[in-house]
Amino acid sequence: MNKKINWQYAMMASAFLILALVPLFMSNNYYITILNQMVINMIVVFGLNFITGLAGQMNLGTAGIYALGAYTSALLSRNFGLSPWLTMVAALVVGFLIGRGLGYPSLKMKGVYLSLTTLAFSEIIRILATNLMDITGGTQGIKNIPRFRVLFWNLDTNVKYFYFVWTVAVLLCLLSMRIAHSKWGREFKAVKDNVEAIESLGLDIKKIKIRAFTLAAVYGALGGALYAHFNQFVTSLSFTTDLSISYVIMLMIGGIGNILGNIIGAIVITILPEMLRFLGDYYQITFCTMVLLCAVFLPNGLVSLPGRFRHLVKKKGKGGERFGQ
Amino acid sequence: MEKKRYLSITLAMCLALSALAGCGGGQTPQPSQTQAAGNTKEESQQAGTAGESSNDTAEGASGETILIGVSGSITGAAPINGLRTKQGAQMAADEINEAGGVLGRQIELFVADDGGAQDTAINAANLIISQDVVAQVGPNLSGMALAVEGLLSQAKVPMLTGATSPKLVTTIDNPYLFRIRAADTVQAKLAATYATQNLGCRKLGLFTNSNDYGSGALNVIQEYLDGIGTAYVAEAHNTGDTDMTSQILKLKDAGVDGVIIWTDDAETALAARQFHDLGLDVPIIGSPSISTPQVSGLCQPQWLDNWYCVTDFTASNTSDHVTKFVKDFEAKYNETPELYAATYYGSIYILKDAIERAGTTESDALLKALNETDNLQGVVGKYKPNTMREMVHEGIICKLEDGTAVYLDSITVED
Repeated sequence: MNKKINWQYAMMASAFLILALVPLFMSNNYYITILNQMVINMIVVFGLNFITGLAGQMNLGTAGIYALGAYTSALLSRNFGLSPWLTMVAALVVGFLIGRGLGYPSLKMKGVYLSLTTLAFSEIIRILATNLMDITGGTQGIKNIPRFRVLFWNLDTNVKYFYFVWTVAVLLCLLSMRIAHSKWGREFKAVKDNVEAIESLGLDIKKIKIRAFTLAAVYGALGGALYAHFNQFVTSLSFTTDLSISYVIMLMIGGIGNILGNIIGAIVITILPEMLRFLGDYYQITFCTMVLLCAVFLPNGLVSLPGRFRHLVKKKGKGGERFGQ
Repeated sequence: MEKKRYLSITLAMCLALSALAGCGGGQTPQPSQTQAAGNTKEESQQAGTAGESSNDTAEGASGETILIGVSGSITGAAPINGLRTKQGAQMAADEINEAGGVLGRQIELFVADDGGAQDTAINAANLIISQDVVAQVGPNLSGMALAVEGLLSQAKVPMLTGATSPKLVTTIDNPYLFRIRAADTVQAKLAATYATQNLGCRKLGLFTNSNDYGSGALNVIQEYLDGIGTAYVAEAHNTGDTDMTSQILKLKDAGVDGVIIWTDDAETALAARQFHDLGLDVPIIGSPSISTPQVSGLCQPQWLDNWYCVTDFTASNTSDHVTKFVKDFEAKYNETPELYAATYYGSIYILKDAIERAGTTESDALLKALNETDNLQGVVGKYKPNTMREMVHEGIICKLEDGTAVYLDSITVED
């Protein structure tokens, strides 16, 4: 078990280290933009992992939470001239409140009903963002959202911004690992595995579920805020159900409940559409087929590949011995 | 044990680095492949040179070619629009190349799918910029155009877009942004003028989408109707709505004698059916959506009896240049061209004209030449930029006959 964890830590460290080195070799804005999107996606998936990965509650409302974080930070910084640092805190507060609010339906609902509730929440946010044009700019969005400043360092280029979000992602990855291996993390897993057992131990399921939702919402809102200040433009067209599903796919493809899996999922699902551009009209069918195949043949995600490979090698070895006897 | 761990970490890093390097190599899509998907044989051959070319000069020349970026929604909610964008631009490039090219060089297109979504459009624009193009045409959606205009401005790449939102000129001042279709405000005012002056409507129903597209038009129409003292009843719906019964019945109960409908493609087709089924038998003027075959094709011809529309282009226009364009397009693609094909066909000719007058593809000279475009005849009208770099100042009124937009009149709306 310890070996497995050490291997995963090594892989996480490698992944972050490699990401940090990429801009040194690829200064092209196209690649740097994708890197920024990738790391922001990673942050959101770390959050989604608490509620869907560890606690097993299907959340399809990520796009709505992400949108609220983005709009909160964008509007406060652009319209009121507040520092993006303050507006990011405001986005976190909004995420916290939404997480608490969204957590309550989860107490009475399970499975598909909870999915639909979170999905409906996300759609309500999108429709409001589209129709409250005087506030949100609707489908044509809000422009000129300011970038962050770190002390006297203005994050005015995509490379500088990347190192900023990279740092945030590393910190949140460490925090996620800490939570996942703490009492909270064990409680989340217990909710997924055996609710009755938890109740018999006298633990408060309400609190546990709401805590998981709140963590997911805080991470999602933070991701939204970082996204808004990166693009410096936000439109309601971005926050569709497709986005929520993309995050669930990232979680699933990487490996549900596994932080290394979150990193892998975010990297693969962000890069893949860009890598498949050359297919033109056939890109979507290819992308969907690849995701489906992965779901069918790797239900525990790409993170389980080394284990599967080792298992196959062992099997072959044993077979060979028998044959030789 | 410790040695083993460090070895595994090093190995993992090497593997990941090589994988990433592999991704890097694979990520620069070849225009030939992007272009060739689903095209005719000669079109694929024409586009085929793009992939091998190297773009190492600031002039946007790949070898001896002039590279132009095309951002279109090849996938997403409206892939037909993206396909027509690509076809229109490619046809213009082919014609120019067959006639000897521009400044003795061939035009080559680098097509990137903007997916009809903000992030994809940003990635497409960055990808196009990375190819050292001389200009970008598209994207066609206003939200996407607003998302990428800053990137292109920063890179000093002129952008010719068919996006029609007033925000593209009222909220930003981008010297690299040129609009090659009449603005929504112009089209909406044209619809209101035609309804009151030509159709004699005294009480208009305004049926609009609650998004920017619909509400922008609604504001212009209301302002115009208030100015001339014409009564109106306004009803709105949301994007994605499928049942518009209550709004239509309210218009019917109010006794309107004409309706202006301003909404997106899918909602226009749904509304057409419901207006017909609920028996609101008055003249209806639609937005440019209904003029395109991909929308009118979703409707039964009888639903569109007594429908008119304002648009920039219709294949039934009998002027010589439009007739020739339609004939050539049908011969090449076996499809009737529509608004997007015509718009982006024109965009390549605007660039050809500007490059020839500039005598170079250098950014500043090209920008100056684009601003000096003087009544260049195109299939959607004459191109002449005003102070806000809006190049088209006329609209077309069509009547829907047997489900097809038939040309009635061209009206210049701005001098």
